[in-house]
Amino acid sequence: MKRIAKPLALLAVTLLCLGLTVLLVGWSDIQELRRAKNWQVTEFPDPKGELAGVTVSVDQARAMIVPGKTDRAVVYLRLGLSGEAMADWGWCNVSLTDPKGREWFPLFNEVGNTAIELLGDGGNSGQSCDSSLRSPPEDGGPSFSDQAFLVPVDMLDKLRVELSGVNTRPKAVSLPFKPVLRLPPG
Amino acid sequence: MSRLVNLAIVVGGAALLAGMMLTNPDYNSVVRPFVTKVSAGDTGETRMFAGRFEAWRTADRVSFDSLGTSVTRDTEGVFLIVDLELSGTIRSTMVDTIWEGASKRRYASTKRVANVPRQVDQLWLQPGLSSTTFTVFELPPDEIEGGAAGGDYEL
Amino acid sequence: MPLLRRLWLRLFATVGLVAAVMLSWWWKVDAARAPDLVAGTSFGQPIDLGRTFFTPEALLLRQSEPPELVLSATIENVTGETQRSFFGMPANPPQIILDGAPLAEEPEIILLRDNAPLLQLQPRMPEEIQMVWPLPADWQPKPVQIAFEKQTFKLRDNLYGQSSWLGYTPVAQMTVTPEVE
Repeated sequence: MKRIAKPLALLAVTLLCLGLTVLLVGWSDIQELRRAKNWQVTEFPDPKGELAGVTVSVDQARAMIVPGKTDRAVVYLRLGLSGEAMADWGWCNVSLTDPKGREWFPLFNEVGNTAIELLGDGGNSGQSCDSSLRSPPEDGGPSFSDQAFLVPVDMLDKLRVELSGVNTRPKAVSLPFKPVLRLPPG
Repeated sequence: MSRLVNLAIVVGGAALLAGMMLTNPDYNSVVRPFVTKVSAGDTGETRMFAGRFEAWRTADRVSFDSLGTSVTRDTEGVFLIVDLELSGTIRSTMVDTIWEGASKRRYASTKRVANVPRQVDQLWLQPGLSSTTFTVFELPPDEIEGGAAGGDYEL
Repeated sequence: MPLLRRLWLRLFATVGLVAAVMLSWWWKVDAARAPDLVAGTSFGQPIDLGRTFFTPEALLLRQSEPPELVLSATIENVTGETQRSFFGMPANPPQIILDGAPLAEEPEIILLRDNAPLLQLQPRMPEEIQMVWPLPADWQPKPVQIAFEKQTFKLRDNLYGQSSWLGYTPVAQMTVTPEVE
């Protein structure tokens, strides 16, 4: 019994050291992986939720079928953020998700600008979520941002908006929204 | 006896380590992209997007409107214009195209033709939506023939 | 007997020490004996710069405001893929040396075909380019030295085993007086 106990103990120590080494070497990678994706998504039943001390709401949701291409629609979302902790978010990650886990990111091109122009109210049109984090209105009301997405028409009623900050990850919120369909101009 | 066992352990360990060292893939093959090969006209699907090779044609000179001015580009070789149908799969993504020539050299799409509507670098692929697009390469004419004969197009 | 053995050991150590000193001294002498002579080159001679073959064609002084030094050349990408960094990363273009002092300004690289900045070089597609350096306002034509360096390529580097472009070594130089345009 005694002859076996010592090698076994040595083996156990070796395995422990191996585990510690893996943890030590991989620590930064593990942290990076945690921050890379919305791993813990809280789904709210209404278009209003809370994440890391910030109240998140969908203020307006509108959609328009693209003229000449009836299989796709542009979605316009006006998101409101309010709360003291906004500055701690760092940067915004906004995307639309469907039940299959597919993700649509905001458009940063001509189509996106046109969609915000056509579907938005004017106002602070074009302010991105990032800049809404930086410049909350002085009266303490929600800080609004505009974003446009291009999605398949048949997904319009199945989409949710998922939102997280670089520093809130792996935590994220997911809010439902019902876009109001608008007719293209003319 | 015990000496023999020790020797066997050392030799076995050395063989195991040598085997691991020899079969360990090098850096270049670890970080290379996953390639899906399809013949022209078929749809190939990768993790981030799907694509189909629709048609190709060549030109000695290309004219286009860029930011309001008319631009003409000529070449010592030939312009290869490829029509593609691309669609997003799991998330919004942008793609770049390359032409693997007959000599296996990799030609990136030319930046001399830019800011043209519907060109591939203007495209922002969305899940569930397909778009027709085109891309322009500038290469020696003999790089096309082999590529066409091989019938492969890699995205 | 122990005395003899100790003597042997000391002798052995001394010989080793002397050999090491002599060897390093000889290396120094050898390095000083053959100074780093970089081969001269002339217009029309292709120079291997690693990623590209560079053939200088002419050196002109363009009397604009400020005056500019224009090196016309043909450049060919000899790698297996399209290059965006023709003179390496970080860029190490041919160096202009005026009166022994290297010119600090980065040249502008113009693709003559488009009369626009060169953005890419496709493999097997030699292009005619002009490299343009701004000069001090009162500069008068005199001999100019141009130095070329080649970047070393390693298929498997020692750190990651990946293919890498590494350091630069001088490969050619030329001294010419620019023609006034």
